[in-house]
Amino acid sequence: MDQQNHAAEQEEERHTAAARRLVAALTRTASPAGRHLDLAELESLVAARLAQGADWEMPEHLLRCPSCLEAFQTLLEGVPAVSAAFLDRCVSLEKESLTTRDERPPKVLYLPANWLVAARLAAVVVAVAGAAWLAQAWWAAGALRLRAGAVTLPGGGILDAGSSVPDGVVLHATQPATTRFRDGSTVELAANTHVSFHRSAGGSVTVRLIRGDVVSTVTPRPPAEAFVVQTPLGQVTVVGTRFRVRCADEAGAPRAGGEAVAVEVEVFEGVVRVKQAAQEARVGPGQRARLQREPRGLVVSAAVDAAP
Amino acid sequence: MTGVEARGCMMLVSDSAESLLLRRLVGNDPAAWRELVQTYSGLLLGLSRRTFRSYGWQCSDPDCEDVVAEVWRNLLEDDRRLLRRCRERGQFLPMLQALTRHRTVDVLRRRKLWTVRYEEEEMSVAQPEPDPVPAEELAALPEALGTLSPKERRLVELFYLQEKAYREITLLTGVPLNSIGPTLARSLAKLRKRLSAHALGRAI
Repeated sequence: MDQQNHAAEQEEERHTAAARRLVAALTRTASPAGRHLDLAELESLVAARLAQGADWEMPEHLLRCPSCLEAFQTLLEGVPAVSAAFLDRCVSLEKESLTTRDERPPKVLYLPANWLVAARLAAVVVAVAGAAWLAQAWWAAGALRLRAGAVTLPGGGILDAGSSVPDGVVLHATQPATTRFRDGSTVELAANTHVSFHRSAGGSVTVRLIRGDVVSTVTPRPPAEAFVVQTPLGQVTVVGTRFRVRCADEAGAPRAGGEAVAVEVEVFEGVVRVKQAAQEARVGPGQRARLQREPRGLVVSAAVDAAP
Repeated sequence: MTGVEARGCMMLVSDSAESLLLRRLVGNDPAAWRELVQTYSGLLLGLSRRTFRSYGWQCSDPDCEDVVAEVWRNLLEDDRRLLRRCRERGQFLPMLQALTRHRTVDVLRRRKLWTVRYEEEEMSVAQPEPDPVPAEELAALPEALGTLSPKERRLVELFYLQEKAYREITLLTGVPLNSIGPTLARSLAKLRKRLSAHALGRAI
């Protein structure tokens, strides 16, 4: 029996060695694969393979080209369906890239060689820049207004519709309210929402959602002017979209008191980036992200409810 | 693929659908981007899924969608540099495949799901090089392969050259799974017989 096993092992080793020599020889004799096949040709081959079964003759190129063979095999196995939400997400990438391209500064800037002229010009530039900064600060001061509803200020004061919203002050929406930025972006506050708005000189906006429910409709912005909704459990960064952020209790209802147990982000249009500690995810239309306190985590799933 | 038809002094050039789409993309045709995404996203999602699986990772749909979205983003970078290059040099689909594989690996690395364990590095042993085949024996091999039937030759090349598993060969060729082993054995026997006059044949 031992002799038979030994003989079988030797036979197997010879077979393996023979196979290796054959592979080496085949690799050297293999002719170049030739032109790659395009998608239409591959799909046609898949149809032929499925129609003819074992009688189908595989083209020479597919035998020799790992790249085309992999694509062919992927198509044959069946590719995933492309959802409308994912398609819209990918189509919107082109619009984002065009916006970024339009923001590029000019490539060439000429200055006069005469130093006196240059000094006078520099003085004019400084004066204009100073005036522009003052104008921008004045502009920013009136940039956020309460469009509808009323909110309560700390100390009991009331802000009515039409009022300018102060920066960095925690507002309590006792009834649904809507704020509007000068660029047309809006933030709708549900009843019993506590929120504050922070605007930087560079144009970035941070909405600090302490508790409650906000729906933000954000017009496309340059990448440098981020629109961020900050929550107790994480933040949502936006570039042109419409989405809801809700500080929720265990049942998923908006939480009006105590610590947030979970934060839910639901996207209706565009894409947002949701971050919790080191975890980050992109959430597209028709998707929902949930940030949890216990156990700590970030989960993205398909949204069930329709957009408001 | 470009077909060229000469009629007297006129040269008529017909472009493939892929070539026409690339031209429209480089020319910033508004509808071309949507057409590109609609046409190729399914294949790229499938390729991403295959790549994740090859690294032993059971991926979700959002994982593959993130990968493909990143591929599309790469195509738009630097004023569509990659698209312009494919317009000039061709190989559009292989380029998309390579990008998809790389972005999939990026995701695995970012999530620290793909690491090379130290023990594996230590234990890996270089495979011995097969014995070199003398030139005169190598010349006999194509003729020997030519004695195989098309079906036998397909199986030999898919198994030995493309290193496909039996179940993959079944899917690719339609040959029943339990026929592949015997067909390969029969093919090797034929090659052995054909090359029996040379040293290579005696060794096999």
